[in-house]
Amino acid sequence: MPAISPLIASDLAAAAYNIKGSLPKNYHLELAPETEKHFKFNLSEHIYTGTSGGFFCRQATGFVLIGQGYSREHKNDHVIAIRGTDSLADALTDITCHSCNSDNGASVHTGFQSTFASFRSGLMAYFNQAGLFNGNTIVHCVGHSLGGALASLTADWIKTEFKRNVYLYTFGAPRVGKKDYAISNSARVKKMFRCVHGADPVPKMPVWPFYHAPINGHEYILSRAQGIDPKAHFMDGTPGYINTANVNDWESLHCQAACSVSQRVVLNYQNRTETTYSSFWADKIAAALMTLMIDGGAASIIASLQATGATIGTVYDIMARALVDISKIIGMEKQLKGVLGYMLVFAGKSAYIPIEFTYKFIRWVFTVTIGRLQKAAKLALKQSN
Amino acid sequence: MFGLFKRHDVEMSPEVRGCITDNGKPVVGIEVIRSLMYQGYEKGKEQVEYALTDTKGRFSFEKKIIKSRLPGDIFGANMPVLQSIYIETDNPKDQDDHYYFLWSTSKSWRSIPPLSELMLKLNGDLKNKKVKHLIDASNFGGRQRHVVSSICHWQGELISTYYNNELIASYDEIT
Repeated sequence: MPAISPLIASDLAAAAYNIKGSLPKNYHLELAPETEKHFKFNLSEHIYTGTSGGFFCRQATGFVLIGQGYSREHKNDHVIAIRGTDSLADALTDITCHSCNSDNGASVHTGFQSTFASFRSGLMAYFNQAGLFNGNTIVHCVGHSLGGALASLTADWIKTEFKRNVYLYTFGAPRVGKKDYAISNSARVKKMFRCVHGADPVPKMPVWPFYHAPINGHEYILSRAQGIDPKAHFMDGTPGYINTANVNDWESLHCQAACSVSQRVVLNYQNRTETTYSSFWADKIAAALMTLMIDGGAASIIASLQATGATIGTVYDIMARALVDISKIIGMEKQLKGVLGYMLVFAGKSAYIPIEFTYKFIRWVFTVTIGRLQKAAKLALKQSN
Repeated sequence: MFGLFKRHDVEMSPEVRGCITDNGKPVVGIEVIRSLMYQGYEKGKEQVEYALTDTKGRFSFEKKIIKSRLPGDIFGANMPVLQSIYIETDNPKDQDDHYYFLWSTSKSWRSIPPLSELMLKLNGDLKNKKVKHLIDASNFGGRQRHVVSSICHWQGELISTYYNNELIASYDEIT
């Protein structure tokens, strides 16, 4: 059964932003002709509201737009477009970010799960309608940014609850959960189209132990510019996902396996100045850190950190302690020195800071590195562009 | 740091000028409605203004620029401005569609010059079929295919026009 095209997927991801407020009477959702050829949208019935953000002012706003397929290719299909939100931004870049159990018992980001839970009953009411499915119905879940994370949780839930084929299309989406979620989600979602721009910082957050699905690391790179640039995250403008995804088939887009955290990477301290403040090196350094932990016999610590609901701050506390132990193993100090040296350069510190194998020093290196990736990125993101 | 609190100029609408005819004759004294909506302004409340057509069917609206912090937020920057300009008629024969849209789109908070230009040319005939224009604004910081629905039958290098979701080469095809 066919997937929807990049053009339609990005059109819907952008359109989902239009439904936040209460719409004026006789409002028309302006969609691309290709989208309207395949799907119909009933704005008075099929917008579902949800809440996000803090404990106060939890006002319900439009989050989810559902369309019904009527063309030959997509008859009996449904599309679910979910918008992002500005109020989850803090949760995403917060070092104390927690994970909790998803509806399937896998560990996912608390903020995403609670927002998803706020509109789940609306989805339930929609999909419980009689005659909605036939044998080969596909539910296409689409979202940009935090909406992509919510689309992932939605796809996971629909597969479990209704046993239907689900396809997932995300643009600039962050990591949703830990390894167990990424693995189970990869199995549940039949086709996954994870689209990113090379310089978009949002898909790099939250940091490990959060993982992207599909677990094989496949992603569509719609713009290969490197570095970290907030503008690369936007739907509109340049590059703008709506423009870079403006094609009719997925084959014409560049698909690659991203530098996965499970790839084996050893860094040589002598070459540390080659690293740049970019998403490429963020991935590479994370992979080198994992390699080091495994080589140093701390694989079980990684496994347990991936499973617990510990905050990212706690995770890196434990990591720092494990690395101190690893530094005492003969032959490991060179590899550890390499990773720490790269991290310091990545964090914008002097390449000549003497490396120490103490808990205090290693914990500080983590703090400045993650701090640069998360906090500094966030400030840059909040600034005007 | 200052970027955090910076207020941006958000273009709710550029200046609007147009002319309404019915089978070529000016429609005089009819109320034209401009509806604008943006999540970063008055909590997303719909902003409605009215104008009356003059003896030649002409009408206009002033540009509306507001201040908002929303564009400075990487996640808020994706919030669109919803724009529509339309008239409402009481034609008993035509019970389904009492609304004639001269302009209906959603755009980013920035000004997009090719769109602003068209908003000065909202010249529509009530006998025109409503079409969907795809406007290439990619050289102006906008979308490659910006969708605008309207009864105005524009032509131009940057415009491709669809009727019933099919590309048309000329308006003769739909008259």
